[in-house]
Amino acid sequence: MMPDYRNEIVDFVIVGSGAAGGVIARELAQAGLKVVVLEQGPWRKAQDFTHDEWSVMFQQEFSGRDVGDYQTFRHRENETAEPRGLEPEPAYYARGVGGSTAHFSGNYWRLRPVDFKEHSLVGDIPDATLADWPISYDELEPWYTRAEWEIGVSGAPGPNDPHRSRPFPLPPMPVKSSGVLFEKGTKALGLTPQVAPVAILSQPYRGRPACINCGWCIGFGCEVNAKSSTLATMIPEALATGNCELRPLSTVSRIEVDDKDRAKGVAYFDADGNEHLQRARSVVVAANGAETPRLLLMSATDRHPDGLANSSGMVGRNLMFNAHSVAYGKFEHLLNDYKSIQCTRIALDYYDSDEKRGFFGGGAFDARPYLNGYPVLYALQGVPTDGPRWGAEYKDMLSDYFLRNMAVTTAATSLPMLRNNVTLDPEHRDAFGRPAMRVTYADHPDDLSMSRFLQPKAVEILEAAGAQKTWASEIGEEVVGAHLLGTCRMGDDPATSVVDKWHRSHDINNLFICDGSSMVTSGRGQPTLTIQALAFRAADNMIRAARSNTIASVW
Amino acid sequence: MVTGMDRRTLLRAGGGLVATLLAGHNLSAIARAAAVQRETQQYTALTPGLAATLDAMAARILPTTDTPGAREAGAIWFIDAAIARDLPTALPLLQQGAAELDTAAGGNFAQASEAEQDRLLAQIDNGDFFGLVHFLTLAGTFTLPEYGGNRDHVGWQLLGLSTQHHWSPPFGDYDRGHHGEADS
Repeated sequence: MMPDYRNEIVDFVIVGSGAAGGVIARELAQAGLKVVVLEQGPWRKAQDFTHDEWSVMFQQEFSGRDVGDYQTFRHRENETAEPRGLEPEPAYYARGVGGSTAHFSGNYWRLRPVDFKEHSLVGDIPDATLADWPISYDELEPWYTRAEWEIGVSGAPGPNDPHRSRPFPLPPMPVKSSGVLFEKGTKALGLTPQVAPVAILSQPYRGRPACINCGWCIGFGCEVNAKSSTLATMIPEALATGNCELRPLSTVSRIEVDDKDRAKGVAYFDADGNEHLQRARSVVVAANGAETPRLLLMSATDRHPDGLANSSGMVGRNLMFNAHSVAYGKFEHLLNDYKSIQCTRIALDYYDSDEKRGFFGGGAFDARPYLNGYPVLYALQGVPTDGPRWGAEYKDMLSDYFLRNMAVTTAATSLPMLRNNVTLDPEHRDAFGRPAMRVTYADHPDDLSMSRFLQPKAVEILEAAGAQKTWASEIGEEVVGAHLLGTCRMGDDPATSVVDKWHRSHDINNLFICDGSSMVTSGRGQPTLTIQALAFRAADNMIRAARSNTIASVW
Repeated sequence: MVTGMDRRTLLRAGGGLVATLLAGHNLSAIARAAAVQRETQQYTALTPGLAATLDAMAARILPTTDTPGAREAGAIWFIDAAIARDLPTALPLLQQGAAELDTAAGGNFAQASEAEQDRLLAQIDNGDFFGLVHFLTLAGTFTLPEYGGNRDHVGWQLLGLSTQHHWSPPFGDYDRGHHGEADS
């Protein structure tokens, strides 16, 4: 049923099959356009996913290490970036069909109106490039709704939620003990807990089953397709049209352009290392907020010496991870928080920035096991840091705490900064000869201040819930980011942004860029729904542009 | 989701060295090595002497008490399988560290008293060698039995982690009564 478009000129070639690429593929294919999706990772199916902590968490099974594609990391531009071994890559994402929607926790929040116009509200911030979005919440709202219903989301509205034009498609997931305790603790402090919206099914939906509450969401793929990844939702629907060819294990190395600044297609390596050109009338880059700028930078030509679509100099810059911290609590009775989804309750009372705090920032709390539902990670880092690290007392503590602990994690704004970026590493290359991704990241001081503001309150929440003991992780500059945002920001001004409000490159008329890189600000912690709402909206515009012949194609 | 995991946390566990040693290794190969062990009941990378020292260390890191410890979990078999097929670069560190530990114990760490073992380990528990053995002991006790350790899931039993992978509410004591449960 899947077409073979290898020797054809297709309407769109899409780089990436994740949060945005999967949505765009489905929308374009359903509109009757011919689409090729190139995915660098393998095509795992639900039955291929495991609960193998060693492989997934310690061998980074979903990373690019099997093709020697190591990222390098440094905090500052005057340092030499180094690759890693055991730990997650600095730009932590999943390779494979579905991209990081296959391994994410499913937390699925809308932004609020404030997120789109925060520069107007708070003004310039030193060392940051804070800017307003070229679109408003109201413009994106129909697409948020569309994403929630097409993808499949369980939830219930919260007390201070922004306007929504339709209710959630599915009722909330069952509350966990961590959620009940979180409600108790937050209410005692005068805060307003609410249901955590998740892209995980509380009931069967569109041919997929309800969640079985196995507990292996964060970092793992879902073996029953209850997690609403694009692997489980958009990709099969795209393929069902007969207009979409999905080509896994296809590693894109460049976007090819002609001397009139029109994209001709993309060059990629197949699994055997042979290079091919997929020709297309338009190119969509949806490779994630780290791989997208890497690809644009790798596509430099004599006419575009600083990388493609980069006349603004903004490609790769303004990388935002969201700032995080963790507080832990141990309780008298059993929580069994290793069961079911990560988060069932959140609190957004500190969403808005408040100048009385003396720094910019907004954030959120959620209740979850975090990594303490997984036995090896729990043993390594799940018990209080002031206790013993080995011996009988340590072993007893491991036994005592596992079923009785929970975390309140905080997520907050990251300010966009030029010095936080993705560039090409000058030393390291992968098996295909492509320059390694170099990630440079050090949080803005205000981001760290916001985490230091929120974390003691997270501890208070746990104490008010009745925790027998609480402890907290050290707050410092992030070394890993699972949210890869801001690196090809959208805007009306070609001098300060990479794509326009329809995700079209300011420089290359038939090049579209849509994923986390498009986001102008970071939101307060959960970007995937926004990325997918943007993708639905962008795809709608691409369809109209293709039908009205307003795309300057080579072919 | 919250940022993948805390690198500082992992480094604390492994002294930083684990990161380098484990770079890019294919764990399916470890599982194959573990299968060979199960058939032969012989170490594939470690000498019996080195294995005895590391096993004694593992048994002090997660000692056998009224519940099973790393020894009953067979953590040493995980360590051997991992070194045999995928972490050969870790072997010199283990050999050197174990030799020094044996010397400090008057020749044979494994035959020292538990109190003496604990005293000696307390002197090195900030170092790379201990960090690596500590990490491997925990991984070998708590990861899937296919990799050679966590035999009969004794590691998971220690935590109270079930091998069942599907659940219905209520999940814990605190959410009981929050699900509209019928009287039963």
